[in-house]
Amino acid sequence: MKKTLLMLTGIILLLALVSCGPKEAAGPAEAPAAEINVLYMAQAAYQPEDVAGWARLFTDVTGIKVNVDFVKYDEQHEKVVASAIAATPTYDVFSLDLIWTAEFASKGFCVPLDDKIAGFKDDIPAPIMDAFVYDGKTWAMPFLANFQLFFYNVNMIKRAGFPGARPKTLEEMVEMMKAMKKRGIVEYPWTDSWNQKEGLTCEYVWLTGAFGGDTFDENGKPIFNEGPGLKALEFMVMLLKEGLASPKSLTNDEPAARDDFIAGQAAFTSNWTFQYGSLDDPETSKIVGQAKMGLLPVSKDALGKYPNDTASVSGFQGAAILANSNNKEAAWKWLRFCTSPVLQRAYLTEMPVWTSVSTSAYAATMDPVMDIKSKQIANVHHRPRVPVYTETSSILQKYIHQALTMKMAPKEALDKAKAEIEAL
Amino acid sequence: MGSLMIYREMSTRKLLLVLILPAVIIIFLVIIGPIAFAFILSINQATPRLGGIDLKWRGLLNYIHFFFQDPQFWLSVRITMYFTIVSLAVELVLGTGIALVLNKNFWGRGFVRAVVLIPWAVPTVVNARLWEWIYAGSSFGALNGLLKVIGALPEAKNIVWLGFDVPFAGVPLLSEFFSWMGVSRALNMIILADTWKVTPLVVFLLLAGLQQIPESLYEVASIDGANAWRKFWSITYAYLKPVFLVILVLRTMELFRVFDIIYILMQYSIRVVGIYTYETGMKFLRFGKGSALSFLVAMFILAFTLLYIKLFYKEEI
Amino acid sequence: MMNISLLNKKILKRIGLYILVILILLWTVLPLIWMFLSSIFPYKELISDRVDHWLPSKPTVRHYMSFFDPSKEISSRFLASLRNSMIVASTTTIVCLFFGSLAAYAIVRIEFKFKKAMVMSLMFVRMLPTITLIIPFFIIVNLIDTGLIALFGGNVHLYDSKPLLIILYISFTLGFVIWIMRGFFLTMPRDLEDAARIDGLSRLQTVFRIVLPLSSNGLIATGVLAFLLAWDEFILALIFSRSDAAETIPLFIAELGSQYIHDFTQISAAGVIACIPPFVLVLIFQKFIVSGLTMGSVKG
Repeated sequence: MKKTLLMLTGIILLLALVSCGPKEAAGPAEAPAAEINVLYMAQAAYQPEDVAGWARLFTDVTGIKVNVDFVKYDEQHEKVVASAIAATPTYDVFSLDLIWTAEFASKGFCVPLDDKIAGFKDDIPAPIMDAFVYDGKTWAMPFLANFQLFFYNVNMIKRAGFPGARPKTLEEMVEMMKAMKKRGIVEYPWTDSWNQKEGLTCEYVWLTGAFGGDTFDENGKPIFNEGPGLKALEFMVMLLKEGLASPKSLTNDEPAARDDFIAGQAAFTSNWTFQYGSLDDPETSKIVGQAKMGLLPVSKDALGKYPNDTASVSGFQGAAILANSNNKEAAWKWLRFCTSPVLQRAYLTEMPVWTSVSTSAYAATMDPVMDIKSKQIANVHHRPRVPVYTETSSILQKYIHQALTMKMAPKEALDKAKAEIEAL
Repeated sequence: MGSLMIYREMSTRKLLLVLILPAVIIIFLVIIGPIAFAFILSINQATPRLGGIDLKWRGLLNYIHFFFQDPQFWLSVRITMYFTIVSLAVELVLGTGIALVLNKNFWGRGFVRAVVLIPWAVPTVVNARLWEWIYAGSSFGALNGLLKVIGALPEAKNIVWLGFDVPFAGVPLLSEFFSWMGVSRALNMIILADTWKVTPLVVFLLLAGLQQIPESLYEVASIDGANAWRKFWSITYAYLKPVFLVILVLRTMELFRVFDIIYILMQYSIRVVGIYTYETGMKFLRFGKGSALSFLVAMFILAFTLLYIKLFYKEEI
Repeated sequence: MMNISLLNKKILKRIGLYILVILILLWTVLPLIWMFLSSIFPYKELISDRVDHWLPSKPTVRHYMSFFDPSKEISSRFLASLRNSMIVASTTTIVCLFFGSLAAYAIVRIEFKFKKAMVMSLMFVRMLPTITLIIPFFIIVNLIDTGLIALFGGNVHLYDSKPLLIILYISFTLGFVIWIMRGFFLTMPRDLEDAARIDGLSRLQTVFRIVLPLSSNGLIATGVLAFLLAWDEFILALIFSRSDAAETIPLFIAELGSQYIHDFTQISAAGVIACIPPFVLVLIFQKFIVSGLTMGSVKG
């Protein structure tokens, strides 16, 4: 009895060890000379299957093995940090959201790429390249040119008694929305992603731009509590108070806002480029052929301030190399490969970062809205470039949300947010 | 005989070592050690840098920050208290009700009992995403749809269940109180979702208690002419009291640590203590401040444990 | 007359009881049924007004199939996380059951100096939220990895490995197991043990030959509870895993969908699959679980 029991426990322990042992141990034994680990954001543009395909091709050509991990955006930042504070990073290359540029650059988490990109950086539009510059150096290679655009339901605009053209100003849009509400065309003409996440900061930044200003000045000092910043928040609050914006906006993230729009439950929204793909997709959309994408409107006070009278917010992603990587050369090769114009030509549903691609005749035939995208991207506003961005944005979100839920007046909320940000 | 006793004593000591040591080592290494380390971190400013972490002595400044300079900390404490107390109340009332029903004799009782336990086995993460979809604030949402089907909600209207409306918005004092507590509709709906998962546990603990009550007591009470309410208080409740107390304590602890469901449904927009600790430490990477919060929570739990042991285990240990 | 009204009252009471039972069943089952239905809806139909779309007109198992289709990236992630969860949860359970039950036995049966402190610290460990440990864990793991990498090179590390998750899961499961087994041993009569020892068995022999076989009920109950606890864990997996090497099923489900996708058909399908192991355990071992719960709380 004793022996069987001992044997049994022995076997169980052995099984436990075997079940978790070899898989970990297998790694180092057969690892090729060059192997890099890559962290990507799980997103709409490049599906894991696509990236896996590139990686295989890359390995065949260069002999460098590439392991790719996809992480949800919300957890990406902490995974990068975990990797950076380790002696040997878990990642060599990671996708860097432009808002982290200042933080990671000031902490020295990634390496400047200026020498490497000098030869071809002129082919990338200045607003995109500029987003990854901090302290005079470039910290990432632009990879994905995301930004917000305007989406409007032409059918609803016509039914409200308008010609069906895109509203040029916010005021014009409000007029249309009031008419829609009056005629019972749609209960809440505006939907958006105003939940307490990064998306809210983005919406606020473009709206501040639409009122003719920025949220922070060039030195990274908050200036949003007066002028355009204040007007933007007051505008958002007004939309909610008048019942023009859906109360659901306060809990929406970007896909949820998209779902509202393509279900025909809103006439206007602003969203990232990915939404364009869903508008006429018969699988998901209930407004096939009814909606269009266009330039975001600005306030009538800001008319004439920007070319094409539009303002947007940037959500660019770059690819960066971790400073403690042991395979910087291999990492750069991959980085150059995965951001190359050749590759981007194959994914024209996304805005290419290369001017030579976006202005090519091929792109124009493949993507009928390339022109709109090019105009919009020329007018992007960046979110603040500060080393403590995560906390700054979180404070901003918190207080904007207080104002949107009517717990605080817009001015009071922004003043408090400013004070708290300055205390960081 | 004497030498045998001594031999037995010796072997007992050795056995004790053999049996307890692994557990003691593990507990010291993975619980006590890290808590002590959390304290060390908490009296420092710990900032991540390339290839490591920098420590800078701060004394008790991190604690002072939370106690005296950070209104968010106290708001987090209030929200957590609300979550804990309201959840407990709902769970106990609902749990007692269901347990009393399931204790009656009816056709298919075994089957019903088996089914009722199932929600408790749903993983917390699945539970969160399940209710996220039920609560969808558009016309796609199952709860909105259900209310429309039974006529409780007009066809054109949709309630944003995970929204931030403060309950009793019209009532002057009450709405201010709830606003101050950090209560929102979303929080109440999360309480409901969590209750759905946990109530079966309460039900089964109470059922086990109910089965120990001799039927004859009720018969005697009936003969004495006691009404149902009186029978409940003087027999059922009296018998179940220890079970209630145990549920109270254990559930308080479980509720106090709530994290998963709120993180998945609301991210950082409802900052209960768990979320606030995670945000400070892991999102903002303020390891020192985050550790101070962790240590405060640990000390609170320690105090609570001591109280619990005083209440229940006086004679036993 | 009197009799009839009494009879009526009785019938009414019965009807009331059955209505209550039905309500309880609905409250329990409806959310689960909705999860299952959502998982067989085509996406476009799921994004529809609920009032007249409760059942899919064209039910599909596509979402389930995609998890088992080897050509899809998501399938390899899903299967890896399922496997990881199985390995981590069962290893944790076995280790904790072994060391935990021995320790619990010693605590109950043997007098020693720091017994009181021991029991109290166990209680404390049982109640301590994981959140208090994550920051120190995070930094300690980082330090250990730095050492490991210096010694063995870059590929040997704890972060993002199953052994690390097992160690961490043991940290909160062991206290729980000891606590519940302690409750069990407290109720176990000593007579048999004493008889065995008079027969000349040593203490250790008594434990393995008499005590453990006699406690199979308690061990099963505790084992099932420990497994469920480990299967359910989220926050440690969230912080300490990043890839197929260690990602667990709760993390996979929490991460399903991304910045731009909220596919509740897929999420529901994954949710249904993740529920199967705990449901099976609960349905098979219901009696044991209930006794385990009462052991751990009322008695212990």
